[in-house]
Amino acid sequence: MGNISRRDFLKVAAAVSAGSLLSNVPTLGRLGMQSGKPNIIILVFDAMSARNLSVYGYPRNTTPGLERIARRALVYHSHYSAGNFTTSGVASMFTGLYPWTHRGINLSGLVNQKAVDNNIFSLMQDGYYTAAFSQNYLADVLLSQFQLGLDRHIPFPSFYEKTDRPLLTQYFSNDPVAAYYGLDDFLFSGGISRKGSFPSVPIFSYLNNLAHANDDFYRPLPDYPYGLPYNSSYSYENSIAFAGIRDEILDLARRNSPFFSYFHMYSPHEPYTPHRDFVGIFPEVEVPFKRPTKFSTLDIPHESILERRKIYDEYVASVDFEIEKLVNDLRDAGALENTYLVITADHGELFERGEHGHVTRLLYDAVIHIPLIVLAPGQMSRRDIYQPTSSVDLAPTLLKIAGKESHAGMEGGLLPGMGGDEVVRSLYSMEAKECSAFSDLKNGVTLSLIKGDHKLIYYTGYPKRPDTFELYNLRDDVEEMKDLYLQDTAAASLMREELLDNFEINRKIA
Amino acid sequence: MHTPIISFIIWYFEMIKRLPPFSDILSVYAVIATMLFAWSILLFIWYLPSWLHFMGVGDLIGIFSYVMASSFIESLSVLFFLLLFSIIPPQKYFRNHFAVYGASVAFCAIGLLMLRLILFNFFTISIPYFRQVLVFAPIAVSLLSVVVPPLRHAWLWFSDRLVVFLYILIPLSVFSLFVILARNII
Repeated sequence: MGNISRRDFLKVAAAVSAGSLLSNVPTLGRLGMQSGKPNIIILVFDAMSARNLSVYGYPRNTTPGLERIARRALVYHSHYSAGNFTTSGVASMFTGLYPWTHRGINLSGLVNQKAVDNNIFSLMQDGYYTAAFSQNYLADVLLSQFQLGLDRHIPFPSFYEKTDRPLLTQYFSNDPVAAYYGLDDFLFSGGISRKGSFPSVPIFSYLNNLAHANDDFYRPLPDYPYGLPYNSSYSYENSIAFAGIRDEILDLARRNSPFFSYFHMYSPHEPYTPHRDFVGIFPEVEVPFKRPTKFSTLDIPHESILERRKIYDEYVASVDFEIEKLVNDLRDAGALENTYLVITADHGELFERGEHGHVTRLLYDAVIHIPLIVLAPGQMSRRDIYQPTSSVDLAPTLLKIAGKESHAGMEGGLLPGMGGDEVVRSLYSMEAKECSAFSDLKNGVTLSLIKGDHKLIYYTGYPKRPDTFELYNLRDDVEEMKDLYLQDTAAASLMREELLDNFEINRKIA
Repeated sequence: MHTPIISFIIWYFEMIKRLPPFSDILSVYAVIATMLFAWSILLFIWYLPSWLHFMGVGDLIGIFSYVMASSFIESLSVLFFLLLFSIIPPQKYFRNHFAVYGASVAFCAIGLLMLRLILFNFFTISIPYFRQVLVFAPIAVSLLSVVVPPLRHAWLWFSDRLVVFLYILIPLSVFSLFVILARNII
């Protein structure tokens, strides 16, 4: 036997180490299977519109990673969020209730007691270890409301680079909701630089602003030409945040009991900050010009919207890279063997009709059409489901997978492909940020009803605007350019009656 | 030759002796506390209608306690800063007129910070050269107050009237601290 060089020794040592690591891999899967119940992981990506994902046919190749993941998954092509921003969208996902029932309709709002009592974490808890993390504070506040159902609530300030103000709620983990509103939401309130904010401690707030006067969260960096990702509280690097999530999931998988977990990543929410590898990668695509409607509150020039959309697409591609890496890491570690992995979003993002973002009165598809991809244990091929589904369907479906009863009051049904039937259903989305959450809904409400191929949008109670209906055929007119309300009177009449009947029942405070 | 500990104790009591009279400290603190607590309470009342909708009485008391406790800590910090300023320079410059200097400086500085927030939030107006204004305006007003007797008397009268609020604010702060402690321990 010849002499072993130092290089050969290192190779052998590395191989032995890798082998010993791999020998642990099946253990993760086996642990979860001991109880016979599957693990469940929900990965939510903030403001990820299905309309901008190539896995759903978008012309820019924004999600090659998701396309590869989808080869062995259930892919829902017409999945809708029940709300057009985080609180309403996520609350519906957690409770199986529409916003008119849970009333998480205001920015920074909470849900009512009925929703708290029947949130998915509490319903899962018996026999499941429950864990959750959110990089979006609006969702994290809801998690604080559901704290009793959570075995592990990973602190909001985790995996971050730099913050511009103290994040105090983390020091009051036994009293997170009051501490959040009394301290983080109220005390500094973003300081002078943000209009509409009155810090309750004007002196501390001013000193804090002075201390962070030179912080520039949008400063271009070599790897991030648009600056680091920033969630209004702290900046972070996607690779580090995703690695943190991976480690948390692997920790959960090592437990000797099934787990139900929720991870809410802030990306690709604005500010769009793609990694440099994804900047400038996309060619121009033809985007139809849609003029502002009478309910648009902004009038951003079309060219500016196109530019923002392009950077958003680059950011989606950047996030897609991290998603695929995360899923591959979990799969390689054996953590997905007995696990349902749900990939979805809380709401979409709008780049049309003079508007950009999701703080909007509008409910066009771009802002409510979200991805839903489910990796089920043992699934080896892709299955596409075109039946419209809603975020309120997630809670009852996941409860059924876990062998539990859903609450009788849940307004969602079982997802087709996961126990549900492929029948035509009526799915609602709602926007009512301008309304008081706990009085009858009457001032400034937008509702959409999707049924089969048709979508009816109803605007009501907006000042100086008459109540208005719009009707679109989503199969023939994906871009929602041609309002059929005055032409297809039969469909319009039936859907209007159904929507108004339901709204009349649900708009009133219980 | 004293040991360092003895030296520190001697120095500490020297510093204590340099502090202004307790009645002056109290009247200056009354100005600071009344302004900061009033600001917080008004903001709390402003937010309250929305919180009422989705929170119980316990949570609302909790929020109020966090707000009061933070105002208490902020007001004590401002007082501490002014006291520090009163013991460092020669006594004749600041300590002997602490009630007037302290009340006028605190009123102007805190008032300016509040005015800035109100102007910006309601009218999007920024005060030009704000940092300089924040430093020099309170100094100018306090110097003027010491020199002009009617102004001096006005400050003394004003700060003395506000002391009565401390009978509410200090117990409220202590109660708030207990509430926070209870909510986080029990």
